[in-house]
Amino acid sequence: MTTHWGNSTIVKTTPDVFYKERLAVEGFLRTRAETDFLAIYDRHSRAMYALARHLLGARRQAAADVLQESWLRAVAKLPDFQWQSSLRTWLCGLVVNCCRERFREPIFEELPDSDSAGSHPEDGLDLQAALDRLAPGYRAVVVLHDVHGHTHAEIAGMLGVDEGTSKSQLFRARRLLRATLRPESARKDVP
Amino acid sequence: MTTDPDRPIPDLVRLPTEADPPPAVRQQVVARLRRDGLIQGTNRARPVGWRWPALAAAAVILAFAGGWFLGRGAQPRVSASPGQYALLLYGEPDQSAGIDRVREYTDWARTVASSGRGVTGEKLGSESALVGRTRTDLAGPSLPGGFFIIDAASFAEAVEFARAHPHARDGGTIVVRAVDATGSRSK
Repeated sequence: MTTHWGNSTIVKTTPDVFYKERLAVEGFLRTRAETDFLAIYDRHSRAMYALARHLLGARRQAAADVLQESWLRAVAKLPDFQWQSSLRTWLCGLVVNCCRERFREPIFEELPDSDSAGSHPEDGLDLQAALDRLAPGYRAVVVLHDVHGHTHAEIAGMLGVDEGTSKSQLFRARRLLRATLRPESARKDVP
Repeated sequence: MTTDPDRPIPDLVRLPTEADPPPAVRQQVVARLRRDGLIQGTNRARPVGWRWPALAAAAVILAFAGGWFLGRGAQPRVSASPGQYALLLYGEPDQSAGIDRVREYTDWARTVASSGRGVTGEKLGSESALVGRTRTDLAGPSLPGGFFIIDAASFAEAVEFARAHPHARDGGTIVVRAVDATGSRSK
């Protein structure tokens, strides 16, 4: 909040995110103090944990392990972080990689453009169950874009694909989800 | 009703984007990082290699400019030009976290300096005196506890730097004032 007092401006405000993050990280790297690390951990872990749960689908019980592994890698790599993205986006990229490596399967792969790939449109499922049934690649794109709000450029960087692939897979993932959630209405959409 | 695959599924965008991880994960991560020597205990090292520069001249300019304008009853104005800006630190930030304020503020100054802008500052001592005709309208909300003088492209940019200052972040108040160069800097 900014108010004016006489010919001055008084600043008593929530911090600018960029400077807050950068100061926090640079402060931690200088001191390596536990309290500095925990301040960063507490600011981002809830989002990282939710992302891991979404990405892992039915195997979400492993999300805690993924979160732990992501932070261990983050601290090791933090001195090399170039601030080309937000800290949150970079951390989420580590979560994506940990999910992929943990299960030794590609979390993103080229999938056939078929409504039957990874979904079962005969069922009327709730949203979480429908997400769980998506193939990992589709689930990753739709979760990162529609749930966590990442851009296609960010998703492309995280998954190692180009932006066009991210967009096309999002399109397919949404169609599969709709077919799973509401089979009757989805069939009307498909020529 | 048809659906548009280019639009997100409404229920999807309402899924929670945050969830509480098990508390044990926090402890396990800290234990691993400690074991690997990547973090250390809660005692925070004092910074080395950076000292508060001698700022008597800056303080003189600041005091001179502030007193001069207050005495003249200057009108509110906002500078859009590059120049120096004083950040006057009022109030006591939250002390509960055991934060080393000098270190925090030094880190902020380093970040400002890393962007190519000049920055200098100093903590003010507890002693204070009003000299000259006694006025009751000079002190403002309190006496400042410290100050910074930064180079900024505009008043708005100076305000942005102030927003990022840990003093403002942790409950203190910062007054931003443009410094009008008077050529009175002593050498």
